[in-house]
Amino acid sequence: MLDVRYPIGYLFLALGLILTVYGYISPSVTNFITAGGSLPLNINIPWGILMFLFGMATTCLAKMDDIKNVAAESSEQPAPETETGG
Amino acid sequence: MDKPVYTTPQLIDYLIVVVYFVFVLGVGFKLKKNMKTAEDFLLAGHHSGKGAQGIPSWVTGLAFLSANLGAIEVMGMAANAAQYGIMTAHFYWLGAIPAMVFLAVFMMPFYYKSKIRSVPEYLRKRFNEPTRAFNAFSFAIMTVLMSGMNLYAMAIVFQMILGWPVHASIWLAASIVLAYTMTGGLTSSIYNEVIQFFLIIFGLLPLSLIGISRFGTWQGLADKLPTASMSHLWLEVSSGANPMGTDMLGLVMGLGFVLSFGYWCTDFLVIQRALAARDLRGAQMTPIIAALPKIFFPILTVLPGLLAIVAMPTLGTPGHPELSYNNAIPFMLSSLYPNGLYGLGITALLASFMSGMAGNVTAFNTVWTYDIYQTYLAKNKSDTHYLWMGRAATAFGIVISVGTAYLVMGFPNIMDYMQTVFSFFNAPLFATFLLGMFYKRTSPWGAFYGLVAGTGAAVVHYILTVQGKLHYSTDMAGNFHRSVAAWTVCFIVTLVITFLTKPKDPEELRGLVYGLPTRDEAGASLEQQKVPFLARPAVLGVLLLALTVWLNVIFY
Repeated sequence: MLDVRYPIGYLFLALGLILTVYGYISPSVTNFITAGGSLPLNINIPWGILMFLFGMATTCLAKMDDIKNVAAESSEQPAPETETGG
Repeated sequence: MDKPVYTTPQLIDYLIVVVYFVFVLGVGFKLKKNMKTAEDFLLAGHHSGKGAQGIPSWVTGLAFLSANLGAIEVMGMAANAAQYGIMTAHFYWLGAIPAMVFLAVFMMPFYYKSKIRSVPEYLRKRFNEPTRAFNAFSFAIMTVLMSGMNLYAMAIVFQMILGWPVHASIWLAASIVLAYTMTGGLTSSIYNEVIQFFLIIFGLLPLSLIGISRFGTWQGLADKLPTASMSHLWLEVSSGANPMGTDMLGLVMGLGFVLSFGYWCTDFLVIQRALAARDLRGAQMTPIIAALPKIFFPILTVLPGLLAIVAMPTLGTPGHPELSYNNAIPFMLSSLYPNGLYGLGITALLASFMSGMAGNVTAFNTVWTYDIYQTYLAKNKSDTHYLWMGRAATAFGIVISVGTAYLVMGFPNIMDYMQTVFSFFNAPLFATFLLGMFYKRTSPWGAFYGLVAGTGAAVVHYILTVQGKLHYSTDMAGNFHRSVAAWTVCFIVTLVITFLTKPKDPEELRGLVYGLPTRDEAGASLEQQKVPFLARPAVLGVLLLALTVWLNVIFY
């Protein structure tokens, strides 16, 4: 079955990238004006990077497990299913 | 009155919303090929043994949390915080956490080992058919009401922030939830709930960060609150002068015990997620894993409410629907977030409503298919038939939700209305479960009449309150006391009838009641002892409780 970490990872990679790029192309990077007052930094940039890193970490964790599973499967027979239906 | 300046949505914000929707639908379609039997669809396969390769407990844990993270949690808790102050955190630090630990340590073993497919089914095994029927019908009604409320809240946000018409928003939101729950069933719902969990964190956390940076410290914010007691959890409780207008009995017994334990320990919506775990330990770890982030959720829900009332003191002015407390979060989003982040914030809100709605719909379709349809309408049909019915129930559950969304629209105060519904159904049910799981003498008819009497007591209490014969300073205080009354009546009536009627044969109750283990359980408990001391649910539960006590002391 699909590992849920892939959709999480890809979504955050995409959203993180969009936010970061948008942050860089907007007019001001520091002393950023928002509706409710100004911020010292355009928050889209750090937050976008953070989301991108989170997406990368999640994807890598899922990939690592995949590699481990493939290695385990090739070295031994899959365990027989013991649990029965209720 | 303040004239707040709002961010208006731009192309970038819409782009973020659209990217999210593409992922939501993609997960449903990707999982479609795994949905071969009714159990795959309705139970995420845990009965067919597929759980062994299925859903890990961190996933069910976050889904457990997220299914509850709907409109009430996000907009409602912020609204409560703007109205009642930090005492709203009692819903977490007095209510939810102890209840979740209790569920994990004491109740989950009975739910999981009895191989039930739904909470009503436990009631049939432990008691009798009428008790199950009563619970199945009341639960089905409750879920569609709740899911309609999420739809309505979502439509309101669409209208407020994006300027979309309410009707179109309701139908759009309903079709998206329909698309991913119809295709991927409970698994798709659980997967999306996990994605939504992270989105909600990333989408709402900057609100609290930017907000608190304006005040520097917690004390800086506390000094600005309308009244000093709004920054304390316990300070004014004994004097009754607290903003929530409640006393010690209502707060500790009503909220801390009955309402919270009633919700977290018996509501099938949350239990269903734990039952989808791969084994008993996974099921027990589900509420434990959920409890850790839950402890910190007041940062995402209560804090923005406090910030909102400071930034906009006119919030809650009677007669101005646009100044409703419910608008605390949308208001803070549009006044603090720049475009880009604003899109993320809107997406987080949408995610929370959709997870709240999908959670209710997937619980509804299971109870409908197994406890109502299979039991009373069409016994002994093929599995393909029940899979078809599960999908059909999903569709008509959503259509009814659209109907209840319009119904909710007619009520001036939806939050109080729903709390009232909770106190009717969940509060007495918890007494039934306590007696049923921990006292083997409790008889089937005792449980049935106790449950009916408890629900009846809540109705009578509600009527007396509406007529003004019972008076409470806030609706919340009334809700707390109503649940205490419903719980107590159910508890006493169940006991009295139990002694007048015949109990079940203890052999029939093996694995369902404390002190009556199944034959193979001795081996299972040996296996449990192999788990490292610090990884046992009970040990982790105690650590979580210690952290909760500490927070209660800090914000006394």
